[in-house]
Amino acid sequence: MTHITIENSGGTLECEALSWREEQSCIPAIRDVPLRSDGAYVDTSTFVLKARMLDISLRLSDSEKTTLEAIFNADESVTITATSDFDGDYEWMYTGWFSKKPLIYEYKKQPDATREWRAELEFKIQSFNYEVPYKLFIGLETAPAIVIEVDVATFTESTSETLGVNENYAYALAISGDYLYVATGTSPARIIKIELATFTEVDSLILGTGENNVRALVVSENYLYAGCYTNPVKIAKINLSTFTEETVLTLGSTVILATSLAVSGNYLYVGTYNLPAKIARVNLVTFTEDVAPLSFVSDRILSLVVSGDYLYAGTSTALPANIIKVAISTFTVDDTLALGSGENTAWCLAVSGGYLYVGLSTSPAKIAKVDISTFTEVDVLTLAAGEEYVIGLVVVEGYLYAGLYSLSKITKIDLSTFTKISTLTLSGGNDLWSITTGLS
Amino acid sequence: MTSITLDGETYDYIVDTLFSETSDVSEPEFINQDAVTLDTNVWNKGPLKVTYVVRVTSAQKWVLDQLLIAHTAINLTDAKYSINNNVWVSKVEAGWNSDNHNYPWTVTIDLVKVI
Repeated sequence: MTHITIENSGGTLECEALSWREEQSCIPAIRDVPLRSDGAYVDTSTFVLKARMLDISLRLSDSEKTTLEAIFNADESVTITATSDFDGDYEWMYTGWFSKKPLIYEYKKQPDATREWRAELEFKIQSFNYEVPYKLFIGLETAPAIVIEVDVATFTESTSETLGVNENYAYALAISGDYLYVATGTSPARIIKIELATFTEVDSLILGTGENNVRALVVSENYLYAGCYTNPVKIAKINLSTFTEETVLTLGSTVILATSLAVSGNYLYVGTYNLPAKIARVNLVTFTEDVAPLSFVSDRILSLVVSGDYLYAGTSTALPANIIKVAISTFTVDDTLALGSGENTAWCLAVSGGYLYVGLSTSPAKIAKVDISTFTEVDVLTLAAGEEYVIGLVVVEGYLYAGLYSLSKITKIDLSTFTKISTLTLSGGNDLWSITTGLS
Repeated sequence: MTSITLDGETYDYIVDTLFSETSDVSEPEFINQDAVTLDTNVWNKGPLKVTYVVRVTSAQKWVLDQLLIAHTAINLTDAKYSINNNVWVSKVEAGWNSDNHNYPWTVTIDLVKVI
């Protein structure tokens, strides 16, 4: 942890930690049963949850030591706040009891010569929490395109960026590192680079001639792949280190109008709209289409997602929509699931906790829930009137966020109960087209 | 790369795996006993305990913390060792390290196999 604050009525101590360690146990009753080959019986209805113990090592100056002692001598609960600037400025908050404070004077001073005291603190924690710094990023179908940032913690619109001239229609988004990449629906298409920290456009890349109308982006290793809604499909390969287009791959003549991309291992999968629709496979090592695409006479491929050893494709045309399950190892169709009546146009997919969520572009919008282990539909959630056409799904911290095309709305769904929590209407009343999530 | 799935969430960066299992046998004792005779008809076994050391993000650490506090059996899948069982999270120990920008937490999670 890089920044720590310890406080109660005795004072406030701000410092840096040398080490941070915590543990908690929850011991179930283990009942000895003689001659039981499966081992002792674990009685999960009887258990003891112990308090979390937090150990922190610090270096302190004389004045900081005095503050720490005042906090200890206040004989009341302390609040410990810690942040890490590593994986997204998480802020952890602990409330507990300051139980031990060995202070050691070290005359052989460390490089930080003003802090000659080393403290090994122990806290017994009653409760703890942390703030989620995740953001949702939404691309609008406007000219020029607008990209909006939504704070997940408060579920409110936090900022937005209007792109430059000719940077129209934000049809696809992807995040890599500290940047958000926006693909435009222009001819040729452009890739816009937005710095997340400032949420401003910092660079723009115009793709090659004929590389038009990018509808899908995916990041693999240090490359961004852009799928063009063209006849035939073109896949642009962009080096993110240099932010330049390294090469472009034109797929077979029957692979037309890319709607979706997914990556598994060294392969990129491309879903297409034009009937007979295809799922094509691209070897990312050789950057070639190394096998004949899968072909579907009546299922337009709108969405792709990988979970475990399978690729799942959401379709339209067939009523209701089908979910096609493809075995990645053999690149063959393993199974097909027809959704329930009225569940048409499987525009987007998301996976969480053993379930596949299918965003349906219907009015009112619906979200189907599929148990991946049995490949059966187990539930469907119908949104309210006026909440229409799911166009993107993302999962953040136990919640599913559904981007709705009509009037730019986002619906928040609790995955533990599969019920709607609330709907946020974005400003401007424009049409939402793409949604993704990441740390700001 | 090996990975495990706990309660539907996948953890990819496994640093260490430890399996622990005990089996005890009856050892009759009496004063002036001058030879050891184990009664192999009377024995019992402890439950299988599995310990993983895993590098995780802050979000993943939070999920693991909540699994412990939830005090309920959850599913563990470990394809490498052909495990697909319900387990009890008996202890979570976490340390923050500055040597991995994306996965700053080293979490040791103790699991007890539930049958």
